[in-house]
Amino acid sequence: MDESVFFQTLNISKNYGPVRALIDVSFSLRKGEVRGLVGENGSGKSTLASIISGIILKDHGTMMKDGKEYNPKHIQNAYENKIGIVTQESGLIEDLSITANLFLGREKEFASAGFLNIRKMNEDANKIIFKILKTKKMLAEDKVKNYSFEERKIIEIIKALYLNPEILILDETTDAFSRDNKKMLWEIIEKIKKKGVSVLYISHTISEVLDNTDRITIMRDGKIIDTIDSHSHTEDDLKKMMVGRELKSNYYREDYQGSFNKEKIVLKIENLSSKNAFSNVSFSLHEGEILGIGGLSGCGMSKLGKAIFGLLKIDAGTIYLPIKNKLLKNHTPVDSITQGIGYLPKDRDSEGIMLLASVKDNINLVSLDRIQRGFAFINSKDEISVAKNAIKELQIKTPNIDQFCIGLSGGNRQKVSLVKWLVRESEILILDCPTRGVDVGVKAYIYIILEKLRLQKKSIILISEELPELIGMGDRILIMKDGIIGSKVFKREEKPREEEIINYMI
Amino acid sequence: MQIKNKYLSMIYSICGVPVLLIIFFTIFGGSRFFSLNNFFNIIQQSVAPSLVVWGICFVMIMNSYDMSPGVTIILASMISTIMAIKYGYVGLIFGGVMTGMIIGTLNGFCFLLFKVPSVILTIGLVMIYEILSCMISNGRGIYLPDTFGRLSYVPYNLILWIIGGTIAYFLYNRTIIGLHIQTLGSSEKIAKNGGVDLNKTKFMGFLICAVFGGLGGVMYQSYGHFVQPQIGLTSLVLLFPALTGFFYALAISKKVNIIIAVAVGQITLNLLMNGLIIIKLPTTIQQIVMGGLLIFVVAIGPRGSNAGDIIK
Repeated sequence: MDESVFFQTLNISKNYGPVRALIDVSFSLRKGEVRGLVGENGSGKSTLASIISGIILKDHGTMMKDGKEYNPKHIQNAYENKIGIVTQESGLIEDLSITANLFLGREKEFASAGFLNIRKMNEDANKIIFKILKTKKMLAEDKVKNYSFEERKIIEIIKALYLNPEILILDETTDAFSRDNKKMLWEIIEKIKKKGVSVLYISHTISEVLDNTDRITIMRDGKIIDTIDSHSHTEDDLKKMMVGRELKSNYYREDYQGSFNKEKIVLKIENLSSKNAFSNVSFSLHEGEILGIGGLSGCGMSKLGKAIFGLLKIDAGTIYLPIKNKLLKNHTPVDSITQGIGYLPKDRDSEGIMLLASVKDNINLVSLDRIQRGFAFINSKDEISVAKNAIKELQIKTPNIDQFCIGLSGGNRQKVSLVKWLVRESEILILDCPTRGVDVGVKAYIYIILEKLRLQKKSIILISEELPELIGMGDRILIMKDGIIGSKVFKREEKPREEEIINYMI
Repeated sequence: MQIKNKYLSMIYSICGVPVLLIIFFTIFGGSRFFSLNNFFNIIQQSVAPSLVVWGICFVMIMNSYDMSPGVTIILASMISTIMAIKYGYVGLIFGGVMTGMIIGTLNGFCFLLFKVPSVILTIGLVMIYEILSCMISNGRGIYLPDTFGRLSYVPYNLILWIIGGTIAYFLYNRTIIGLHIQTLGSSEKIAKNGGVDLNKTKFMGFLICAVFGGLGGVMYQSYGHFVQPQIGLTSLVLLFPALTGFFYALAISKKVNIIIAVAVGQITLNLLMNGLIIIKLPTTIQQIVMGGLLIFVVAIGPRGSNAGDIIK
C-alpha cells in the first residue's frame, strides 16, 4: 500500500436486485488530496460516496482508513470517523433554524437537565458560520426556509466542515452554484486541503473538476475506468473515458448564421414585471429561434420563465402571441399549454416530473386531452403507443413504460420531463436549465434535440446559468441582472465570447 | 421595518379572527356576550382542551396520528377519580398523569412493534381502551365528589393552564426531544442521517401526547364531575374538537409559536361556540359554522404555511 494513502476501498460491490451498481471498486485517497470523481448518470459515483459515508451498506469488499478497517453502519459512524458528506438532496430541515440543523444529533453538548441552552447554541453557530464564510450574511437564528437553495447547500457544507472532517465528500452539490459561491467554495477547499483534509469532489462540470482537483477518478457502469492526473488531460479525454466512445469536441450547434425567421414573431413580451422577481422585461421570440437568457442564479430569469408560462403572478406588462393574435392575461399553465407553450422547470424532481408515477403517465400528462376518446375516457392503447414512441425517440433507459420515474437516473428523468412537451408538439418551449445535473452524454443528446426542434421551426427560450451552453446553442442571448434585462443583445453571428458576456452579468 | 412587520403579522394572526368574532357577537349578542365575566369564562373553558391539544401537537408534528386522546380523557377521568377518593388531590393528578403514561407507553410500544400506520393502530387501540373503560366502571358512570372541584376554579385552573403551556413550550422548543420531533416531521431521512434516534423520538411523541391527554382528563373531570364509559369508537367524538383546535393552531403557527397558537386557537373556538349559543343558533348550525371557520382560517392562513403542507 502506498504510504501516503490513508483511505481505500478494496473490491467494493453493491447490487440493487439485478442491477449491479458497483462492481469490485478499489479506490484510494491520499491525505490532503482533492480528488474529482466523474462519470455518467448511473455510473456508480453517488453509490460509492454513499457507501463511504455510511448512507448505504456495501454488499462485499472492505474499506480501510488510517490502516484500520472501516465499516460504517450508518452516517453517524462516518461522522465519528471524521468523514463528512454533502449530498445532492437537501439534508436540512427547512422549518428549523440554521443552529438546530447545524447541531442536529449533537444537541447534548448544549443540554443541561434535558433543556437546551439555545442562546449558547446560537452564539456557537454564528461563530462557526463566520469562521468559515468570513461574513455575517447568514444568521444562525434564522429558519433555513428563509434561504435560497444555493445558500442551503452552503449551510450543509458549513455543517460538514464544522465537524472537522478528514475526508469531505461533495456529491454534485455545487453544480448549480453561482460563480461567487463556487469561488468561495474553492477557496475553502484550498484552505482545508492545506490542513491535510482530503476532498472527494463529484461533479458533472468537467472543466471545473479539471481546473481544481489534483487527480480524477473516472467511473463507468459501476466500475472504475481509470484515475488520472488532472493537469495532464483535457476535457475531451475525460468525456471519452466517461462515455466509452468518442464525443464530438464541440457538441453545440455548428452554424453561426442565426438562421431563424426574423420576420415571424411568435411571442412578444412587453414591459413585463412581477414583484420581487423582475421588472420591465421586453423581448420578442421568433419562429425557429433559440433565444438564450443568461445571468447569475437568483437574477430573476427562472422566475421570468415561470411567469411567461403562468406559474407566477404578473403585475404589469403583456404577453402576446402575434400569430394567434392572442393576449395572455392572468393566464394559467392550462392556458399556456392550450396556446402551444411548454415549460421545463429548473427543479426537475419537485416541479418537472411525478417521481411516484410511471414513465408512461409522465409522458402523457400534458397530452391527455389528445388521447381522450368519447366523453372522458382515456384510450389506453394510444397512451401506451405514445409512451413507447417517446421512449424510443429519446432513447430513455427504462425497463418498461410502467417503471416509476423515481427509479430512473437523473438524465433519463430529464428526458422524460422534456419529452412530454415534444409529445404535445408545443410550438414554444421555455427551458430552464435543461442540462442541469445531467451527464455529458445526456447533455449532448439534449442539444441534438434542441437543434432538431429549431430546424422544425419550433421556438425556444433557453434559460441557463452556463455561458458555454448559451453561446453554443443560442441565436441571440439576453442577460438578466437583478431582475432587469440588459439592453445589449449578443448575436450568434457575432460569435460572442464568455468574458464579454460575464461583464454584463456581474 | 422587517421586525415591525413580523410583529404586526403575529398580532394579526393572534387577534384577527377573535376580534372579528367579538365585534360580530357584540352586535348580535349585546352585553350578554360582551362582558368581562363572559370572557373570563371563555378563557377558563379553554384550559382542558388546550392541555389535550398541546399533547396532540407532539404526535401530529411527527406526521403521525393519535386517535386515542378521547379515550385517554375518559380513562384518566375514571382512574383519577378512583385515586382521588383514596388519596385526595395528589391521587387526582397522579391518576391522570399515570393513566396517560400507561396509554402513551402502550401506543408508542405498539407503534414501534407492529409498524402499521398510526391512524389504524390507534383506532384499534381505542377499541381496546374503550372496553377497558367499561370494565373499570362496570359499565356505569363515575362521579367525582364535589369536594374535588377545586382545580376547575380560579386561580387553580389558570395556574395549571400556565404550567401545562410552559411545560409544552419548553418541551417543544427547548429540549432535544422537541427538536427531534420537529425534525422527524420534516424528513425522516434527514433526521436519521442527523443521528436522531427515530424509535425513541416516535415513542416519546406518543408518550407526551397521552400524558397531556391524561392531564386534560383530570381537568374535564374536575369541571364535569362525571364520566361515562364509551364503546363503539364513540370516544372519538371527544377527539374531533381537539383536532379542530390543532388545525386552527397549525394554520396560524407560521407567525406564532404552535404552543401559543394552541391556546389562542382554543380561546377563539370557545369564543365562537359561546357566541353562537348566546345568539341562540341551533346546534346543527353551530357545527356548520365551526367547520366553516376552520376552513376559512386554513384558507386565509399564510400561503405555504405548515397547515397547507400538513393538512392535505
